[in-house]
Amino acid sequence: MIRPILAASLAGAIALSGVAAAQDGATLALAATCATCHGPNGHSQGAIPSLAGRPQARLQAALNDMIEGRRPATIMLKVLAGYRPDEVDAALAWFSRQPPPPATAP
Amino acid sequence: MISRRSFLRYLGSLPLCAALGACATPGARRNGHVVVVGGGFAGATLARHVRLWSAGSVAVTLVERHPVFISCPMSNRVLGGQLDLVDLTQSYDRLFGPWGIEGRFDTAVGIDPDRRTVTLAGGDRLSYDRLVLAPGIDFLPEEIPGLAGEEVTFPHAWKAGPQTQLLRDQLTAMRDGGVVALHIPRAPFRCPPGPYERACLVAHYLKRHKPRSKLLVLDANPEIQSKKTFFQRYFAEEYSGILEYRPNSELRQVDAATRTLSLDFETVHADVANVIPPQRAGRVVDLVGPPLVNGRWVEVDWRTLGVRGHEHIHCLGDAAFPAPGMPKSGHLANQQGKLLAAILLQDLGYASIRPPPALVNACYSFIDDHRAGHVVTVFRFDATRGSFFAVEGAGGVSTNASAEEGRLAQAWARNIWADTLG
Repeated sequence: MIRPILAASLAGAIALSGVAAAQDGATLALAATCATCHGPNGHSQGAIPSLAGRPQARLQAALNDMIEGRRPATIMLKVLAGYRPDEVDAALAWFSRQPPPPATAP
Repeated sequence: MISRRSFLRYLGSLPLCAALGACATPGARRNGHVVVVGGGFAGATLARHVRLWSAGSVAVTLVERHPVFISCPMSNRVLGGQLDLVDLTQSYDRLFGPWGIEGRFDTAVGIDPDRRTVTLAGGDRLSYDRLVLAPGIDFLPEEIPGLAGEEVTFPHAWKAGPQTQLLRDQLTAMRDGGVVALHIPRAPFRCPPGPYERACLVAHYLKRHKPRSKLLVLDANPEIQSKKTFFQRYFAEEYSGILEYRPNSELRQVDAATRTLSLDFETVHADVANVIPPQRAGRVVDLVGPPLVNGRWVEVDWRTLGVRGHEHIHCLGDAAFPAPGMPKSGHLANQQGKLLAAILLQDLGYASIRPPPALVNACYSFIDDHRAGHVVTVFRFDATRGSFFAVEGAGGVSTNASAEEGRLAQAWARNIWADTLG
């Protein structure tokens, strides 16, 4: 039977996670709304950039470059305008803590 | 039941394990059972995120009629010849296997809100703590005399699947010099820009392969319902000799024997007739008998996505009467799935999970085989008014279609499929 093993593995994943969990609770759903375009956990396939595992400062710099016109933005700034700065910070921090996509992992 | 191979793949999936790790506060957990009726963008996303954010401690059963997921977004590209139906078809294996969701390929035939049970056509009865209705749309062909039962002669192709292939086959079989009719029902309908994207892609196909043909766009509405300036521009610039757009063209009757469509003052004979029928919430909601707005859409409280008057029953996606300005889109169905997952988990005792402060709609439309443009809107929850409202100053529409946005549209599709189905 696979199910008991699966359940044990899920439980293990929780136990391992522990620490960051509580602070993440408030950000999970916020960050998840970015994932519709940027892929689950910020792992994107194709032309939309992945967010997972990139330093928060780098993610913020990419947004700043769009705001300053140094980097092309199609819809990103139109989405960004609907969020408060502290929400953007929380989402970027959350993505920076996620494991990078397998293809770019060291 | 999942295979050994897919389970090993699951174990090797570091991001997934890590994702499961970043979940609810351990110790604050209570179990529950969520039954979801409908495995489209709304229901599947909700199911996956309830499992993810409860770290697998809330049981989820998903009831879905179809054995595979076929995406409506991108299905107009099958009509245009850019994709095959198989490109839009996804297995439910990843959702039902690694995520531990109990998948039931069955149909709900009874709902008892007092006993909190759902009865399936196969005879099983499921008990729920929370019930989620995510059935999408059903059609109302009976509103156009002559249409009911004639979906081979008048394919809708508005739920991706065999109908999409049928319409594509009819287009490729048509002689050069033929007339294609595309009828758009009165709003609201699923995917407001969809019919106009379809018009562009069918016209693009005709222009390339059957240049003496014509496409008549018969719109029951007084004007283009989404990305109006954008579509007007490409109707005129790219397809002026082929595509004719006629507003205020509500169908009064169709005749399958002669493939004719009757409007108020004229009758059109078409070689291919794509009739998108009027729509309503999926009929499975009638098992609950909820209040329906305009007799069609489930009235929900946008604080909880709860069905009015029915405790512990929720509805989302295309079936729900929308918050102001919200279109019926796959993107918003996915976003609402996350909203409701957070609401349900809070309700089940996972206090640290917060609903998202905003929901985004993003929708790309292709105007030919490689160029696309977008519409995007951000909706924020207003606690005073108890609903979501579009944020002024956010969102917008593409001025031009571009190849770059065509590439982004394709990435969007792959990402939303992965985000919905795991």
